[in-house]
Amino acid sequence: MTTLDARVVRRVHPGLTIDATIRLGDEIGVLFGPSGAGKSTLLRLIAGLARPDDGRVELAGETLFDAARRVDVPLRRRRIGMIFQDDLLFPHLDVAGNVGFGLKGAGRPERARRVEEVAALCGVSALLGRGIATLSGGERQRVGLARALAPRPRLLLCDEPVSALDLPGRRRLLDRLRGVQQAEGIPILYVTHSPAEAVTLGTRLFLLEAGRVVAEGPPADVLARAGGRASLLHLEGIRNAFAGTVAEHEPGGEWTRVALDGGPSLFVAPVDLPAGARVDVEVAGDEVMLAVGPIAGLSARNQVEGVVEAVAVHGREAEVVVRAGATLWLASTLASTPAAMGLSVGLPVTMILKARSVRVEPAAT
Amino acid sequence: MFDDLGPLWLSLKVATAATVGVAVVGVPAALVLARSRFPGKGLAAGILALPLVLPPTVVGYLLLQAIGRRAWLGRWLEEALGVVLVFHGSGAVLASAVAAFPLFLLPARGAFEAVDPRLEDAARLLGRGEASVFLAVTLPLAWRGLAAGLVLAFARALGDFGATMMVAGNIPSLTQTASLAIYDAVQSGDSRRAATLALGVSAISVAALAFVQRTLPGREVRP
Amino acid sequence: MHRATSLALMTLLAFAGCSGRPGDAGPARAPLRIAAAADLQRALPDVLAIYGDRDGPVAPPTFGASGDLAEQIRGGAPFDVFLSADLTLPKALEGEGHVEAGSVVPYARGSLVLLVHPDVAAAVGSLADLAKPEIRKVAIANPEVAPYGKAARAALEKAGLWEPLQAKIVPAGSVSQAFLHVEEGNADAALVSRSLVAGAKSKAVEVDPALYPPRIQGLGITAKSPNKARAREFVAFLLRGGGRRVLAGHGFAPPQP
Repeated sequence: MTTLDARVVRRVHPGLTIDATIRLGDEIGVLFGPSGAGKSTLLRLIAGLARPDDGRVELAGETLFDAARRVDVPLRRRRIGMIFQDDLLFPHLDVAGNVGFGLKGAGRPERARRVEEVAALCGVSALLGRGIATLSGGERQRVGLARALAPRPRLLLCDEPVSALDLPGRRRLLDRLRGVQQAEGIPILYVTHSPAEAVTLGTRLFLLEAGRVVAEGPPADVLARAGGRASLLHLEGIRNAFAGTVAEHEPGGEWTRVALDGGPSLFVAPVDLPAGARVDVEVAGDEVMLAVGPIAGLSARNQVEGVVEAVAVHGREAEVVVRAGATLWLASTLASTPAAMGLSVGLPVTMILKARSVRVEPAAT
Repeated sequence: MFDDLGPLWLSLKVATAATVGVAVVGVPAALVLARSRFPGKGLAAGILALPLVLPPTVVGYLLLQAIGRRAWLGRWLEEALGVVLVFHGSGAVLASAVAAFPLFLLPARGAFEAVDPRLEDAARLLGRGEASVFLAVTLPLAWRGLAAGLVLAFARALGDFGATMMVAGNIPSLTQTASLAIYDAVQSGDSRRAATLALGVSAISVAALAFVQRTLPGREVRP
Repeated sequence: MHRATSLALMTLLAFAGCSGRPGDAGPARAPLRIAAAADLQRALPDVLAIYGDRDGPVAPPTFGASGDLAEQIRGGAPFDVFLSADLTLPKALEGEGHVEAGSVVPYARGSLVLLVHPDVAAAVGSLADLAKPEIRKVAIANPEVAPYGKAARAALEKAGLWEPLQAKIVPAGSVSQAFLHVEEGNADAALVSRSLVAGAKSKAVEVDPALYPPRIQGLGITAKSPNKARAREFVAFLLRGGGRRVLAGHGFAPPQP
């Protein structure tokens, strides 16, 4: 089992010193915090792109950096993969060239095989011959992911890779990351300032504030406990985004039913797509209503059963995270509502959505 | 007529050798200036650009002070290596190379600076050593700027007069490049020879320019 | 911006007035312009020091290889007097009409001397020693444009040394440049005019005058000169009186043996 055991210290500028310990096993760890907390810098220090003033970084039992014993393994030998907010693909190489870049030294057939293997894992097999200028943002990030994974790194670092992507692109990349973690079994350290990503992706969250880890643990827990820190949780206009399939159309044309992957079915306004078509589904967090206890008589078509995963209050608003099947939903409410309703982790709730609140688009390829 | 081709051929050889020399020294210099930070970097960059702003005869004079046969470097070269630069073709190459150097260095540095250093970091993380990072990422992304700089340097080396004459002398078939031969021809009233040589040198320069225009189209318009 | 421009203009104007002496104005006091062969580099300033400005200002002379100067006169350069290192060039210019007919006269006879750099002086006692391997470069004035260069070539050919020394010969722009080459050590030896040799650190070796045609140096007054009267005065001074004595002091013999 590969493990990351890192403690790094660095004085970034007079206002910010980073002093953090990160321990990660075979899992996805999320490095979470507001902008300016030093998340990206911390990631770069662990990667070796910046030099720590002090500390020790150990990966899979090998010491990559040790200030006291003057050990500093050069980047090319660390076997760490990284993906970035700007994908940083090589513009002069095509997709296959980018993906295979780290595989120098292997024989040509071996290289080709690994490129195909990792391209399939990241869902970019169809793109292999293309020039990178023709790719969409989401495609570029997935190519970047394939490139980082091809040389079988022992650790994958992700520096806010989805912030420049649209929602379907985000979802696709995060799905791939989860798949990758399971397939390759390596630790992944993921930097974000979005609570939605933190909760949907990670199994361990490190809350970073002014360069220090102030809390650590399962994401939902940490976020819930952090609810009182108004500065930490930044509300970004939460949208719920899912993938699904058109299931059936009401013969009279009143509604269409869409089945979400791993989740509930929703009634939506009629969609001009055949049954079986793949779609991207979106619901604004503002439009998810919550109910506790039995409901009698509602006009809204959709009543989805779920369980409260987390509650985060910040300022005048609150976020409630609800799990329904394999899907996680975020509902926004006024700050006092969760307490007034007695919402607590583990409580069964019903989410209520009007058919019109659910936006359906054909799945982007 | 064939007598006229002699200086042209010599000019071509000298300019090519000078350009190679400029590339060999200039690429690492441009890379260091683009990527490294060290005290006195601005001063170093300024000194390297001096031949661009100094009159060519001053450049020639300074070179003579260094590599003249009784000067410090020239004496060492002659005694230790048996190499004499003044009045030799190698002196013409040196003079042209020094004059042409800044014309390569400035665009080359710009080309390297335009390559995002984060791409180089990404390449290092992917397992490449420094030489490989340079050859696989930096150079392919910078080569257009480098090539443009080389053509400029070549044209400058081809046309050098003042510094070449002072360092290498004006020795027919040994160091009398086309520029010097044109000067001689005008001085002695041989206008036919002057015209032929001028035409020849111009043709070479224009050919070099045309070559650049064709192989470095710059931003391509996508269909 | 305007201040800088007017400052630049004023500087340019100031420099424009710098040729000749301050106070020079219109054509009535235009300076006498002399084109002189390079071998007169030391002698002519001494002549002019004595000549002074007895009948008007004299511009600093322009020195160069006689062939170059002749070309400049052909091209219309505003010289009044041409002091060549040979007789052929002024006569040619006279025939072409660039030099006043009848004004061409010989004014001196020069001679060729071999100069050798101190570092290798011990090895060279005669022209023939130039073939030795210690002598890597021999500078002469460019035979195409300088009469002393022609004479040097003639001497080497007569001595049977021109072919063997081909690879070592460095043609210099003028005889004074050849002198500089050997003084600075970039050439090991040089064939120059005797008039340049005084005080040189290089060692002088005599060259048999029989090896080259006599170095009769002639002068002429340019046809276009606006100062012909003054030019004639100066020429008279050079041929007789003080001028001849100064030339003699610099190693020039009288033109008629």
